Amino acid sequence: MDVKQRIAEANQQAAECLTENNPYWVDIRPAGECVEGLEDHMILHSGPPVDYENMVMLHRRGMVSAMLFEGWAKDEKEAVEIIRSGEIKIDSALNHNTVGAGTGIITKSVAMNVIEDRRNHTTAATFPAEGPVFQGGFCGWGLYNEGIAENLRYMREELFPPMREMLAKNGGIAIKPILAESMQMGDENHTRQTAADLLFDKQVLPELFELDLPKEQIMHTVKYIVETPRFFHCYGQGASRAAAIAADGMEYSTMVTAVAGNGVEFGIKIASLPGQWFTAKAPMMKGRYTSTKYTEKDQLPWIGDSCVVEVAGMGGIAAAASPIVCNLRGMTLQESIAQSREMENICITCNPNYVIPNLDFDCLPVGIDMRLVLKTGICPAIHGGMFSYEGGLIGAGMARVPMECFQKAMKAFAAKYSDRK
Amino acid sequence: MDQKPETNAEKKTGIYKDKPAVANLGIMLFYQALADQGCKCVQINWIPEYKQSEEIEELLDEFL
Repeated sequence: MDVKQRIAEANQQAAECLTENNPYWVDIRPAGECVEGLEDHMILHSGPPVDYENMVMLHRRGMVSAMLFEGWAKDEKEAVEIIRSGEIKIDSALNHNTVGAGTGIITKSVAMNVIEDRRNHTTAATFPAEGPVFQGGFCGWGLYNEGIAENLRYMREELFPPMREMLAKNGGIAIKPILAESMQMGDENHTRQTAADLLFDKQVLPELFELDLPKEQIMHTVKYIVETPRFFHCYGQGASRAAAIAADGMEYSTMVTAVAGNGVEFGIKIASLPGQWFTAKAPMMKGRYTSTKYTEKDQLPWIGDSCVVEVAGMGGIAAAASPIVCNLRGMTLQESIAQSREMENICITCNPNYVIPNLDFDCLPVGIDMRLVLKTGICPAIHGGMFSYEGGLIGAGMARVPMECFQKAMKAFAAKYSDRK
Repeated sequence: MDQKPETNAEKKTGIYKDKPAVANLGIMLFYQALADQGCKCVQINWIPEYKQSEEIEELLDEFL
């Protein structure tokens, strides 16, 4: 079998990890118990690995907030001193079975949703939604104060126990049917989860009400679920991550298994080159701001790991499923369809689970092949949220994964597999 | 009033006699503007072949 055949075979298997996956939300546990390789005194962040000194302010603030949240420092000054002394291990969340959405700060005590992929025999942990919008903002947005820390503790101590009891009783909630149906109802499951939220609520709420717990306690959890915008986002990310992990380490595969930014650099990972990052300057997102007071000067280059959903064929790949999201950027229905059609040129296969009315019931493309990106010059379209340099979400939009990432990855692939050395 | 004689090109194509029919390559905006004006047109999704560096092109020959 020649190398091209080996690649084709490996890519088929890698893509099946994405299309045949079977993810269930099974538990909520401390990160220290469900994130593989997460040690004590270790802090994870979004995007490719970056040292504290080279981090953007949002990540630095996240490091400090994690130190305070865990009780590893008594104040900000001490936290910075300890981090700079090298006592704290810092790593990319995507080097583990988790996802660093937003700033992606994860430490051992943070409660995480656990997603079990029953086809791929993998698990992924994702940071839960932080509740309805409140003045203090969110940890995931690069903000931190005692109110935010208190909210994280409240979620862990008060809101999650009823959810855990429900999951123990029903054996888990299937994620894939919700993703599949919502894709036919206007979600692309990166920027928009409106339909997925409702489908999730329809399944989960009756089961919560059936628990033998005080009504007041159940209602706190119910309100947290229904009042949080894009509540389902973390489940889509967890399902995507669990599927992508299954392809990591697959020899000869040229499929992309991670796409993420840290506000400075943007990186990708390739299935057959596990543990390696291929980076370029983080791109700027084009889109719409939440207020006219914001301009590009306020906007941080790409930060966050939520493009795990693009890796699994959603978000920017699935633009045709959500012309509503694309229209926020002034795109027409035809242009939304064209975006998904364009992505067909760089993907290994299509996903029979995601049949889209706007594509005349064709399936969405899935499994980005770095070779096809290089051949066609078409860079993957990625949807996401815009962050301010000061912290906080200021808009939503789209960017393209830099070509340089794929060029570097191809050279590394050749160094491993070329016979022409 | 005397009519201006047709040029050879006009005789061949009839470009000023009939409504134009357009096949648009590339920019969708141009297609949309023509379509909005009632022009018969089709959009052809074509982009020029992308060229990488010689090194990457050689690797693509080997692996794709």
